[in-house]
Amino acid sequence: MVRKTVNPAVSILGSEFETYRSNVTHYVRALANYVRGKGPDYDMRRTSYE
Amino acid sequence: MTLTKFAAHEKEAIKNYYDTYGYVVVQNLLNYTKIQALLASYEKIKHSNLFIFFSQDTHLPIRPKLTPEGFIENSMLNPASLKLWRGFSQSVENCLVDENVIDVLSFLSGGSNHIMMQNMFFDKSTGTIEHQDHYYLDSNPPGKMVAVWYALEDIHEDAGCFFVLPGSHQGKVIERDNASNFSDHDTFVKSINALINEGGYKYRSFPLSKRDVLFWHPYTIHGAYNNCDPRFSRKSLTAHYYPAHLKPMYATNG
Repeated sequence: MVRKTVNPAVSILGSEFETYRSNVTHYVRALANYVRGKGPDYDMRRTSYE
Repeated sequence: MTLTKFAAHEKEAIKNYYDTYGYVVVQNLLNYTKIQALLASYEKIKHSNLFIFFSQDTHLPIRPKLTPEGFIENSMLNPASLKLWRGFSQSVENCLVDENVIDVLSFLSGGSNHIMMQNMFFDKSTGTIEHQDHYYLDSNPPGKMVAVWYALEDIHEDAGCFFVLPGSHQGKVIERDNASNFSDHDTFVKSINALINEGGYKYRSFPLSKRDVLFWHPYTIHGAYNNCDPRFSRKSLTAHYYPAHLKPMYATNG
């Protein structure tokens, strides 16, 4: 599923619904991590790309 | 060393350079007003106590962690999808799909419509190891994805510049063994380093100017240096596109 952008020649992977759901999921996960005192896993930086 | 940059109208030269070296820089391509709107929106949200984003470099949803100089430490994955922060995400999208940028993208990929697989925002360089994008994401069939790096400010050499190894897209391509995860990532890193030594590739660093845009091939080895001076940010966007008539290589990415 994709969603439209302001440029008709480009769409973004992920539907509107999936995108909003992802936003809410991130909020819940961030809150849970905050409550558990879990910080960022900097070891994951090794699999980051740009 | 002087960087080779092209004007947007030099289409044939842009394509030839991209095909030869695996990357190309087009100067003054991104709309200045759109950049300013993004930066203004960003300054507002980064101080918000409610702002949450998914950190691309730590793989966690987090609140902004500011450096003493006022820059967000971590890179954002998919800032254009932060729908709960409409002003910011829309200003990111406006820059990413700027018609001048997409015009060059179309010329390079040969496609008239594109799917953006993901996007990133960097306030500071997080430093990225040498890699080929193909290992992480690509089009299916492979090699048709085009990655784009947008300079949102003048990039200082000590800011942790983006770098490319010109011509490396014509060498060997490292595949991911397991499509569902990165369990062979350590092997991938070793293979890339071996590839660099065997090919004798040189590093080309990009202290680009605001509005410059860099395009590169999914097989081109590239990365980013670590920040050398905390006074310098490196505000930039990255996005990866494949022609809409193709499919993404991996079902889930980022």
